[in-house]
Amino acid sequence: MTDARSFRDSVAALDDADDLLTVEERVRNEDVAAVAAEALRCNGPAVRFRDTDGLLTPVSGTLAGPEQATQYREKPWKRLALARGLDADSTYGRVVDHVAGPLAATTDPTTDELHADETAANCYDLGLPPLEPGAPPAFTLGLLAVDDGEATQWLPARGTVRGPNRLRAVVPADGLAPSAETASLCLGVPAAATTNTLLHWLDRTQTGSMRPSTRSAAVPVATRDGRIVPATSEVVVTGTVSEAGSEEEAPESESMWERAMETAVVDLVVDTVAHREDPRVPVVPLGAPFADDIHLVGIAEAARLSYRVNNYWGIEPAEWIRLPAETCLGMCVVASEILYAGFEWQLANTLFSFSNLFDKVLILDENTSAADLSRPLDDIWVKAHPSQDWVFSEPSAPAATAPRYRTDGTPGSRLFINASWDPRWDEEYIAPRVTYETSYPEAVRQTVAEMWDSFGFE
Amino acid sequence: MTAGATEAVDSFRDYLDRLEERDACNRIDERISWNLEAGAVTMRANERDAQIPVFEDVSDGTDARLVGDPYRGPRRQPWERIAMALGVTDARTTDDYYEEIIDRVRSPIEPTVVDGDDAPCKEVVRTGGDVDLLSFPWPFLHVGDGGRYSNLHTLIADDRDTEWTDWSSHRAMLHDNTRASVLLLAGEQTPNIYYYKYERHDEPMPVAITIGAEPAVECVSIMWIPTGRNEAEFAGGLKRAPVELVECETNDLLVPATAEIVLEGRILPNSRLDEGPYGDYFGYMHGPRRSMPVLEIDAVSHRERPFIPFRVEWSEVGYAHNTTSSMEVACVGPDATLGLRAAGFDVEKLAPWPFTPRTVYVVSTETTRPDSLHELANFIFTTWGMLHVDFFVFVDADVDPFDQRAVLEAVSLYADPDTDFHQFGAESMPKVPLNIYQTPEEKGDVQMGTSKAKTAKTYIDATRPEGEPLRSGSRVGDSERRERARELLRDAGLSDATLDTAPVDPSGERR
Repeated sequence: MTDARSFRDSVAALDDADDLLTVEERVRNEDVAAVAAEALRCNGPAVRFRDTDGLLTPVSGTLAGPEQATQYREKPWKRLALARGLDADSTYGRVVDHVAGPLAATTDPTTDELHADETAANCYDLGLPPLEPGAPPAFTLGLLAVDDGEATQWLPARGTVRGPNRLRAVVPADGLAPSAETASLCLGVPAAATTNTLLHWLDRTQTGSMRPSTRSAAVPVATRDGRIVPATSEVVVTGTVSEAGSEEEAPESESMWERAMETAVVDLVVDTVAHREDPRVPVVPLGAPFADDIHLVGIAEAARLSYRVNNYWGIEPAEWIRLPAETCLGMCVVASEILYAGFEWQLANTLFSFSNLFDKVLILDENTSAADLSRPLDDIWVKAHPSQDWVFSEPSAPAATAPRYRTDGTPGSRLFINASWDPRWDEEYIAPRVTYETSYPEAVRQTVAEMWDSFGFE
Repeated sequence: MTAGATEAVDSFRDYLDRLEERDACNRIDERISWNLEAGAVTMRANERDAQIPVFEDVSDGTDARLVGDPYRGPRRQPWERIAMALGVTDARTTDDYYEEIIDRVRSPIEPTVVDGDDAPCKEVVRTGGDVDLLSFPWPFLHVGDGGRYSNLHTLIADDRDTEWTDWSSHRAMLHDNTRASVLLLAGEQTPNIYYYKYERHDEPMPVAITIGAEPAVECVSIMWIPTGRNEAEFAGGLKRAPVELVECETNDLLVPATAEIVLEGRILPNSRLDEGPYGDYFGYMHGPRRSMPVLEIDAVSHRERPFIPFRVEWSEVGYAHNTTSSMEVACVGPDATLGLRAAGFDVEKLAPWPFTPRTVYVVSTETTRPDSLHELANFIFTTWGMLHVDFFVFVDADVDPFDQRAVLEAVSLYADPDTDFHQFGAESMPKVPLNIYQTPEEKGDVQMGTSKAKTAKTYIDATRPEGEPLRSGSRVGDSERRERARELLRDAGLSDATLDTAPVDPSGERR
């Protein structure tokens, strides 16, 4: 399988792609998140911390990406593509299709031995870095494997270390069956395990569907104390599930997936800690712009929406759907053929029906590139008529969850902006896009290309 | 005369020399055609953030030279080259630059008038039958354009009824040896003078078009200087020295003496020629061809081997900059900020939206009460923002309006469709036909350059509820901790160029 890369393989792939910076210098654990956030702020590479306190090698930004407001060369989905075994220059559509795979078809995982070995280490020995100085050690991109009585469920999880043998985790609210007594927290899992799990929970909480499965052929699995876990997990912490203590129930910084669903806080009283040799664990500076969780949820949600929208009307009108990290997932951008007058309304409201994250949808023509964020940031203002194409619903729609207003759930309006051409317009009304290719004939372009070096530009 | 590095330049060619001193321009000796080639090379240079191209040898046997998008600034600081031209040397951040320009605009300096013999722009003078517009290599910029354009110049016109002279920027499409059509859109100052004063009296409007005037003049011509004020004084303020003017050969207008070319003429009443289509700043070829007033040229004067600067419109749509977008940041931004403050509004900064010049602006303000924002939007839309601008986005004073991520986040997370999008639906406002969302019927072919149909103007309140702090990810944070983080990354091999791309807070802190 092309997407069976373990976490350590994906880190190695980043290194090979010259997109990983290794900090050999000693870094205090309380500084790791700040360094990770700073690398994100400057569209920098993923960062591997060689010398920190504890057993782990923290690696930040492994699934993050750059912003596209000031540059377009580096694509935000490149690291996810690499982590899934795709080419670094894979198109957005290719990556989204890959992530949506479990929606289209159920595949069975292969079985392997668990690569992590049980050790005498406790939770503090791991050396998980905190998100802020003085805060408890944190895990940010975890996967909690729990039994629901019939089978193992995988839940997205993030949380903190609350004692040498105690973890506190935030998980989807209906993820823990009352019968669940023990669980395994897996860290450093394959990217496919993370996206499969997000895809499942996003779809389950917003459509009620139990598909897609969190497991697929992309992620080899192993059994740990009767539970199925990703076989290549770098760290597997196993223990007994208990109710969270009353003090400081949820760690303050939230992960983006929590905006899409109700959450619960549970404690895990740890029995064993297993890890691989020289374990690598992802670190996400939650709350920082363009952090991994924003990209991951944006792509998983887009994959889900693309699949749903293009399997709804018997045809596939949507070219692509994006929830740009720049908007913190509060806006959905879709490029689609407008099948008939009014289809834009249908499309926008279908997206609103399938996702509760956003209450703003921007519709673009189907020939718009997903890789060029500057285009929607132009078209939204110049192509959509300020009154006719900015369409507000009645103020009775459910509140979206990504925005910071109406957080008490008060209903309100939704907005869709139609920046596509009106299918009723005559061809002569349609303003041609001005590009280098359309502005200059082939002969001129060829002359410029041939002479460019001789012009002497530095 | 050549200004010192810390003084403003006095002419366009001094500006080119200063660019050259800083390795920021590229004098190209290969022969280049005005027919699409110069535009194509300039476009490529804009896209690649390369040096400013100076075309020393243009086809057609002319000795005139072309300069492509001379005021384009680097992507990180689009105002940088204009700052260099004006001798602003100590601006480290956009805030520094804004405050320096605001300070200069507040301190006008009277121009001086020189004799024709002392005016470089009169090294060659042609009048009457010797006028031959087409002897200059005006560029043909996009394959779909209606003709060849002069599109980076200052149009100088006297008010018919007062002593006021207006400097403005209106592109001209060349038709023959003596005629051009000029894009005059009613609602702007010079077009209003023409349509509602000269033309109503069936009189021609005497004008001069200066091509390659000194940078301070170009800057002032796109600023919104209040009616009745002497624009030359503001140019003097900008350059901290008097602008030298000289009288025209065929009318009483005073023009910048160091300009590369001066076209003297009259915009005729009740006479129209086709103008457009044109690959304009929206990134689309908006039509249809329309009728615009006719400029009849009476005299041409110019320097020896004159430079003709031009801009490649639309190349600023997207990630590249050109003269238009750079001057929006460098000139319109601080000027409008000052204008709003002078009108009593508590404005931190006004920033053009980088992907769409002249359609949407972002304003940061400390005063975010709904009535204050409504009043602010009303003021802008009814004054300088009337015809081109459709949108204003208001953000809190601690959000940098130049940080597109922060602005997008504010719009997505804090602008509630229920309460924060204002004036949508009310199609009662004027619009220029340079848009692509109206049909040709809605635009019409009206004689004064505004669309037949009205449009809506909108402001978006993307400010946070009172008392809500900036999200943690957007906060400047502990600067000492961040500096330590940057040091670690630098020591590990991350380049300063990469580290410097982190957004900078208005205060100079990295955001």
